[in-house]
Amino acid sequence: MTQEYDSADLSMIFAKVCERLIDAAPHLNELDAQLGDGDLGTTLRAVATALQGELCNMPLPISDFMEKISQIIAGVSGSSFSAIMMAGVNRVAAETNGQNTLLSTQISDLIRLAMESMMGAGGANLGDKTVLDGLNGIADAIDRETDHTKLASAADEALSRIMKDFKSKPCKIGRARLAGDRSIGLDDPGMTALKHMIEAINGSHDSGSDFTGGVDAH
Amino acid sequence: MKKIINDPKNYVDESLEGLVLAYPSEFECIGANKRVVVRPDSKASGKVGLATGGGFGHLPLFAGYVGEGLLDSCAVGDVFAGPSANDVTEAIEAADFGSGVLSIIGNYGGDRMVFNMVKDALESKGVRNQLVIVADDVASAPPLEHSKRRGVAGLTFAFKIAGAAAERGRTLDDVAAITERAMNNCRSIGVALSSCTIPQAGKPTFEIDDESIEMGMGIHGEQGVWRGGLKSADDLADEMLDRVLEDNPIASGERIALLCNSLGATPIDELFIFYRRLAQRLSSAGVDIALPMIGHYTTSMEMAGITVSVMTLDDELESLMREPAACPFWRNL
Repeated sequence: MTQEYDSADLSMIFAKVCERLIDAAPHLNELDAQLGDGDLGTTLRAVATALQGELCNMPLPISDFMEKISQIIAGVSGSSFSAIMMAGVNRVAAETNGQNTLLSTQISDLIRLAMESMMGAGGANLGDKTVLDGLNGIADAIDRETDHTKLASAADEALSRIMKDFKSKPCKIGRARLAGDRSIGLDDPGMTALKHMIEAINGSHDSGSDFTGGVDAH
Repeated sequence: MKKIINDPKNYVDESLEGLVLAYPSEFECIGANKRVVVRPDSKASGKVGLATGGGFGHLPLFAGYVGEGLLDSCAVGDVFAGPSANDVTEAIEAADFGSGVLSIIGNYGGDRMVFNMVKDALESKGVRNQLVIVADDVASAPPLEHSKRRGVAGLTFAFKIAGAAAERGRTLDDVAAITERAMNNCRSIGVALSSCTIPQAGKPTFEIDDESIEMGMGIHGEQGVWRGGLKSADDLADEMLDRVLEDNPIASGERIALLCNSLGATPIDELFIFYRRLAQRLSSAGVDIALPMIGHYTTSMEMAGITVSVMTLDDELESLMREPAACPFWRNL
C-alpha cells in the first residue's frame, strides 16, 4: 500500500534525524579521525542545528522543501560530505517538482537518482565503501518491502547487514584510501552517519558497538 | 593545546579581523558570514576576476594572496575545512568585473565539489566562470593518477601567474590556459617533523614522536610515503629534489622557480640550510634557479616541516612571475 508524506510528516522525520545527528557528532568525529580529518560529526551537527531552526517553516511543494534543505547545507558547510549530500538533495528536488506529497513507493527510485548525482559529484562508485553503498542497500530493501510501516526497519536491517559486510573491506576513495588496509575493520564514517539517520527514523539505537552518545540522555 | 588564542570557536574570525585591522587598505571581509576576503576599493574593471577558497590555517595561502596582481577574492572556511557553497558564491560574484571569473583551488574533495557545484549554478545565472584545480603534490599519488594529487604550495605560483595574466588584460580562456600550463610545469613535496592542532579539536591532528619525520605528508597531516628517523638537511633535500625531478625531469639549461616553504614552525634559518643543498645540486645539474623563493608561503599552523616546489619556466611564465604585485604577503621577485 502506498503512503503519502506531506511537509509536516517530512519535517517530523527530519526533526528526529537532526536530533540524532547532533547527539552522534562526537562518535562520528572519532570515527572520521581514524581515516580522515575528523570533522564529519562537526559538519553534520552544524547542518542539523541549522535545519532544526527552520523545520517549523518548511515550504511546499516537496521540491521546494528539498531545495531549502540544500540551501541550509550550502550556508553552513563546505565539506565533501556536505557537497555530496547537496548533490543528492538537489536531484530529489529536481525529481519532485510540483509534488505536494511524497509517495512511499517513490522513495527507492529517488534514492537511486540521488545516488547517480552523488556519484557524479564525488566520483565514487559502488563498492568503494562510502555512504553510496549504504544507500544502494537501502533502496533495494525498500523495493522488496510492500508494507510501508516497515520501510524504516527494512532500511535499518539492510544497512546493518551492509555495514557488517563492508567492515572487512578497505576504503577505495578519498583520503581514507591512503589508509589502505588500516581502513579494514573500521566502519565507514559516512555509512555510519547514514545509520544514525535511519535509526533515528526507525527508533532504534545500535550504530556501531562503541556508540553510546545520546542514548541515555533520552 | 598551547596556542595564543581567545576562544577556539573564534580562531578564524578573530584572525581575519586582525588581518583587516592590520592592512585596512589591502583586505576587507564581506558577505553574510564575513568569510569572503576581497580587495577594498578595488579599481579592477574589465579584467578577468580571480577567486579562490579553502580551509583556514595555511596563511598566507588563500586569503593572504588577495591583492593587486594576485587574487580578487577568497572564500574562507574553518580550520582545515572548506568554505560553504554560499561563501564561495559570494566570492566568485565579488570577483566578477565583467570579463568572467577564474577560480583556482587545491585538489581537495570538498572544495572541488563545492566549487564545481557553484560554478555550474553561476554559469546558469549568466556569470561566466571557470575552475583550475591545482594538484602538485607528487607524494599523494603516482604519475598515472596525478588527478588524485593534493594541491599544496604550488598554489602560490598559480595565484601569481593567473594574477599577472589577468592584470595584463588576458581573456578568461587565456588566463585559465596559462595557469594550467604553469601547473603542468610544477611539482611539490613536503616533509613534516611535528604535528599541528586544530583549535576546536584541541589535540594534535596526528601523532609523531620526537625522533620521527614523515616524508610526503600533506598540509593537513595526510599520510605521506614513509615515516622514519630524522635525517640531515642535505639528505632530506636530496630525497625531496629526487622525488620531484623523477616526476618532472629538468634538463640542463632550463630555468626554474624554486619555492622553499616553511610549514609554520620551521625557522627561515633552516630553510636556508636546506636551500643551500638544493642550489648546489641544481647548479651542478646546470639548472638555473631564476626565481628563488624562501619563506612562509603555505603553512599548516604550527606544524614543523618544509615543502619544496619546482616550476619550470618559459619566457612568459617567468615574466608573469616577475610582474610586481601589491600584497603584504608577496615579495616582488
